[in-house]
Amino acid sequence: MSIIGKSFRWVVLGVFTLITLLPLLWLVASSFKTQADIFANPFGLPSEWRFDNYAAALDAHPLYLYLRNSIGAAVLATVVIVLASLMASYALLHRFRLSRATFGFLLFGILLPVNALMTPIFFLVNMMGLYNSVLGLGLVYAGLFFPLGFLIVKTYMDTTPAEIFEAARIDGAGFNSVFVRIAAPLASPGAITAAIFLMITAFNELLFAAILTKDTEAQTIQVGVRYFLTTYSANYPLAFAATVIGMAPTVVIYIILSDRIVAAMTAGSLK
Amino acid sequence: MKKNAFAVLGITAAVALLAGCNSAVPAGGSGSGSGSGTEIEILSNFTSDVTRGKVLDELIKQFNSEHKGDYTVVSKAQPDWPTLQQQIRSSISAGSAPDVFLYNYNPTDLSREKSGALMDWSSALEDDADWKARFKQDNLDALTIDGQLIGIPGDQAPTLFYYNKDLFKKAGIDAFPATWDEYLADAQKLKDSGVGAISLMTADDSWHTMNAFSYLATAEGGADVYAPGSDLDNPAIVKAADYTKRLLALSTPDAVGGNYAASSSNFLNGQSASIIDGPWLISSIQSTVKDACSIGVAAAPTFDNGEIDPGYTVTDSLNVWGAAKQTDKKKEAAVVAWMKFFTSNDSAVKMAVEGEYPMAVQTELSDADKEKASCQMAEVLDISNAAPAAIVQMARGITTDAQAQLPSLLESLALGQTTPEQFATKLQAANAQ
Repeated sequence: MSIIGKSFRWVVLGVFTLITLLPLLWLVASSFKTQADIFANPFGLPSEWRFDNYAAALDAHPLYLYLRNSIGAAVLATVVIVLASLMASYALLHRFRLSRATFGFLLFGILLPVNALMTPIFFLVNMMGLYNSVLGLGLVYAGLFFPLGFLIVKTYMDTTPAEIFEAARIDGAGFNSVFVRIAAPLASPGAITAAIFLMITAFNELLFAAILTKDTEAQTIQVGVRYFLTTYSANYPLAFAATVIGMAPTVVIYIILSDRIVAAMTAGSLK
Repeated sequence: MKKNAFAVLGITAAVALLAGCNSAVPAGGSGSGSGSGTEIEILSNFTSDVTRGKVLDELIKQFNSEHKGDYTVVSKAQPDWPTLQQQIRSSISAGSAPDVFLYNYNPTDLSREKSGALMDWSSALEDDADWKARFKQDNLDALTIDGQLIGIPGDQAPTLFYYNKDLFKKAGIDAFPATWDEYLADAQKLKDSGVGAISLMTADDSWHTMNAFSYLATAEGGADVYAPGSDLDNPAIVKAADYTKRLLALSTPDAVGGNYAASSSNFLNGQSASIIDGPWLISSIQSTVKDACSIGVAAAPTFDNGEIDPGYTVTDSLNVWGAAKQTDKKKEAAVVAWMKFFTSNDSAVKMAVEGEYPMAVQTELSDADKEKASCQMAEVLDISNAAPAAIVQMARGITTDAQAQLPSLLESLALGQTTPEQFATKLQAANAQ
């Protein structure tokens, strides 16, 4: 590659890195500023580093509890969706009456505007006694985000050569055994990709988390951050500190699993 | 490896389920008392992060202490007002309205009032003439739907000019202007001195901009200029649009596209010299502005054309305390007892003085209370009490279609893509849908 080509590559990478990192760095820097400093000096480093913003945010609201709730709801939803998606995708590997219609039905939810589902979902959750609980929220997420997970897992499982299943059957494996021993393990990269997307989506969800909960014991970190940005006042330094605390788990997970995540996202792209 | 992956999935599912089950047990919010007697929940946006929320918590504590063994009140706060309203609508639709809740009354949308899920307060008020006398009859009449009083007036916040006296002085302005033309001339001086003349915003419900617009329209066309059923394509609306466009040009650079938080922060941080807002701004002024008393409060200018008396106020919509229709008489008694306590003069004074929240009840401040009240709150109460008329802000009374189109209409107006005449025509068309 010529010097010009190499330089161009580094410029593109540098610009992309800046675009990606600058908002994050801005957020972190702002979380150490005073309210006045944020507006007077929006893009500079803090004129006075206020580390106590983090302590104040943690004192003001139980952010760790909100984090636990967010993780609980996101993990529950992710596990339910991934398991259901694996089973549905495996079933749809087989042709049966209305199999195409079933596929369309399972994906139909992706087209629905979620706001339109607000009242029916509230009604159902309330009727089941799950209003104001992480369990209820997690199950709602499982329903809402199922089409996304199903689409990823199904697309991946479809890439598994049919000969592998046939060989397993010839060796005496039954329908369920093929799923447990062959189909699900081979689709695990797709399932991991789906799990990552689902965890992030559920972790960041705000609308249903706000509507379906009313206690700190059930509210999520996204709702918790809103306490610093109320209708009547906005405490940006504390809100940013709370946001950084709220982002920490996903950033740490990404740093630890970055190789795995990239591998999972590209797995199945080549046969 | 694969077995391990499934084991991890299984364990995380179990942990999540346990976490969920653990959290399914409702826990007391602020003010939860001993749990004795009949318990009622209050759903509002009075979080403990704002002064009114702190005062509400104190009042609940006092009430619970005075009624120990009989009633316990628990506050549940949702910080975001639109989300709170959605939560209330969903609860009512699901047949489980909260015990007591704060909502915005909109005469063009009586779905909540006509749901049959709300408590009728008529007999409770009729049985206690002193309590009834604490409310304005106009408000009680507005809340009487099909012969039932469906709520207790909560607040009807006056939106007034808050202005930075230091910035006005620095720009060579000695007194707050009495007419809009004087205001525009002063606004140019403020802009020339390096600050925005007024905090405005166009995102969400365009609150600050629509406050200015409502004042301009009523100043030109009188109190009924945008009353429900009026044709909004009229000269007063055109003039209001023209002046609003000029104000947007003299505002801060982020006015177009900005939201409430950005707009109010601009004022609080001295980047703009004035703002039209409700009394909830006072707690932010007290906590953010170094010399809080450098912020003055003034009634809006007029056009001095005799259409409306100077000193009038544009208000937010009436916020109402609704309650779920109760089959349990004890719970109903608890709700009434709490609301009588909450709307008593002592509670209202505490809310006004310490919570910076004037309630829609008769509030008599003693001299000592006035001493304790912030410089702005005393002025707000004086202006409100002396106001010859109180008109609800325009955006609160137009249709939801028109409300939804306001941000883009205002942005087009500010950017010169729409003339004031076209603005009025389009607003009328949206409102007529």
